[in-house]
Amino acid sequence: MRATVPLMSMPPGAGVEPPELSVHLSQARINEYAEASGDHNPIHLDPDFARAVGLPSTIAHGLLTMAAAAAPLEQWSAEVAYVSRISCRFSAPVPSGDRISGQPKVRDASAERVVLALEARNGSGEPALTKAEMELRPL
Amino acid sequence: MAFNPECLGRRYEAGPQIVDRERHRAYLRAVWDGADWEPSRPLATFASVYLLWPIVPLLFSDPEVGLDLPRLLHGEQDFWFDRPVQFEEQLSPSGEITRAEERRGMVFLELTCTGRDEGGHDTAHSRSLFLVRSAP
Repeated sequence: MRATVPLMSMPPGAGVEPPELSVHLSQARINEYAEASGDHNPIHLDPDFARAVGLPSTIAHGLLTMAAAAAPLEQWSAEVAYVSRISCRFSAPVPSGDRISGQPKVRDASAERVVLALEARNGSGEPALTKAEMELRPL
Repeated sequence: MAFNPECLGRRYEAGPQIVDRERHRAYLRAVWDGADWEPSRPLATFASVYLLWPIVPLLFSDPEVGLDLPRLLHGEQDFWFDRPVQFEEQLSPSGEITRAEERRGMVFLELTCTGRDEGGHDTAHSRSLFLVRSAP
């Protein structure tokens, strides 16, 4: 992940770019997320079960993918803003071991709110998170 | 067990949930791979733990709904907040089925949840769209 300067004010000034997304969703991380979240669906944890329901392997939880994509932006903005809304569509699975990547963009910015687009792709380049937005409001 | 479209409007309630800082630390370790960071507020997506997951098992195990869980996919997710949620506060989640339909063999089921704080104010919200693929 490229180093970036934290968001220092609301709205972001011209040229301020959110941090790039690049997160490896290993099986160990998926297991850790299952423990932390309480979502023990076997399609995320058991390769045999995943194959039996037509998946090539275990896949990351959609909510893990969403959280991993959002966390760098939350850190980037934490001193001046809170997340008032976050939404996405889970458009393609993220097999365990994939790296999700993307470049969030400032879509809309005013003194009252900033909207970031945070689409992410899986390791095959397919759009895993689409219609993905994070709305920030000043603290 | 067949899907029952008449489940629209069914409601679920879970007991009060603490927005637990220790559990958040474990959650953060799973979702964050940057340098050490101790957020002063919970991540927005941590609402999946204190708001959504207390309700989802009630929905998934409800025989009046009849979801085919092995064929279920999480299609969309939305969280929104009326104010910043704080660690150690207590929220009481409730959920309602706000969409239940079957089209061309695919089930569309929407669950909308609300977390109410100890003052009785709606504070955190979620909307989840689940899809159930038809059996081959």
